Amino acid sequence: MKRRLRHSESGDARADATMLIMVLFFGSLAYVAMTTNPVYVGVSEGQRAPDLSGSAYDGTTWVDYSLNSSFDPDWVEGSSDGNWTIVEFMDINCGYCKKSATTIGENLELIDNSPATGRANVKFVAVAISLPLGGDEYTKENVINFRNTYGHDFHYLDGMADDTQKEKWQIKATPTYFMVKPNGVIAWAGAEHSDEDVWDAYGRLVPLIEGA
Amino acid sequence: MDAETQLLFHWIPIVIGLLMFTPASSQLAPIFSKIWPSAMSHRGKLLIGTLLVMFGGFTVSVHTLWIHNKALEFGSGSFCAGGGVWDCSSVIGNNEWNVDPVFGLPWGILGMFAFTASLWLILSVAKDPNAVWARNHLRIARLIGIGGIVIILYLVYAEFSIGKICQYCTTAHLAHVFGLVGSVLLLKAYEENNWNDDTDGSEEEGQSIRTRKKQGYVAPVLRSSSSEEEE
Repeated sequence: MKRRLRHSESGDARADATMLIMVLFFGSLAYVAMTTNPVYVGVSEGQRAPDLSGSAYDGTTWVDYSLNSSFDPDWVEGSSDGNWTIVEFMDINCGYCKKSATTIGENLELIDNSPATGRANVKFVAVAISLPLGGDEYTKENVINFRNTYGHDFHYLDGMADDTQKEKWQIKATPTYFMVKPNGVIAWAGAEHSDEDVWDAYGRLVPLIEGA
Repeated sequence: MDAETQLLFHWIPIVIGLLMFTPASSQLAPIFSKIWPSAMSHRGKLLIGTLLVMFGGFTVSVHTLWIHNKALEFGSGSFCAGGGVWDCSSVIGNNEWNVDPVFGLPWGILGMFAFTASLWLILSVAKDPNAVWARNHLRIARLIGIGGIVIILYLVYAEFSIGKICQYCTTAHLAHVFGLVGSVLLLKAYEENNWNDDTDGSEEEGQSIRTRKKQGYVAPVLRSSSSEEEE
């Protein structure tokens, strides 16, 4: 009996310490959880868009492009301020991309044309990757040719040199579209909407300008 | 309040803890002895010092986790960004390096786990310094400290790769190293029989206490009774 009591006394010090430390640990964790709202980087809707940067053709020359540097962390949900971005991953040899390029050409007036559209401004960037498919060689010149063929006037990012962009954005097929909010959060991911195309998503998601 | 000022709050317990390892502890110990009378002893000073250093490490780890989450919330860091080498946003906000490569957990929460475990080990010893498990607790705390050094070296390598140094991470690293020093000093005091004030520090008595500890129970020696005997 006496021996058992001694063991209980030893346990008591550790139980006291455990309670104190647990209160400290979980109290701190609760504080962090209640005061922050982390958005993790990923390619699903509601996640933060992965890095997208590199050399991009702007119609005259190849320039350094960074999608993420244009994000506005203070953008307020629902506001018609700021730039939304449609990101297209395409392959210059992909038949569906060529068909889609025609549709994009028909919708150019919706791109970078606010307030005329009556909606928040939407920019467009095409990322040329190589799946690869047979056909034209994957060169910068052929990307420029593709862009000019369809009369596009937005940036074409060179993602053909390596698979970095393809892996970061988990691209399995082309064309693949994402719509990114001005704060960098993915508002629409084509892979999650088999029954809605990017232009329907544009009409549904991009906020109207008040009074327009 | 800017990031550097906020960081000072974490350094307060760490610096006081460090002072408890030095001769300056004789000036500080009376303040603590009002609450914990054992603070006047060598063991008490080391225990309080180690606990304070580890507490500072814990709070800065919590702050690091908070910054990590805020960086993810806003996309880019604007909490302690700076133009120079010291820039915690570039380190904690860096998606390549800001989680551990095995579990994918933020480094801040791993720091919280490490300091929580160390705090528990040392706090248990502080509450019952002559318990049979006290030596094991000190040894485990030392082991956590040594294991943490490897992780710290990895994180310092990460900072060099990024080209920036995170002042919050560095504070947590230093607190960890100071905590390890505290654990080693405590273990040394324990093993060199410099643990209880009522021991004379002789090898014979040390052996006697160690033998008794192995048997699982150390009979308390009351100061008043020994004083009476002397009289």
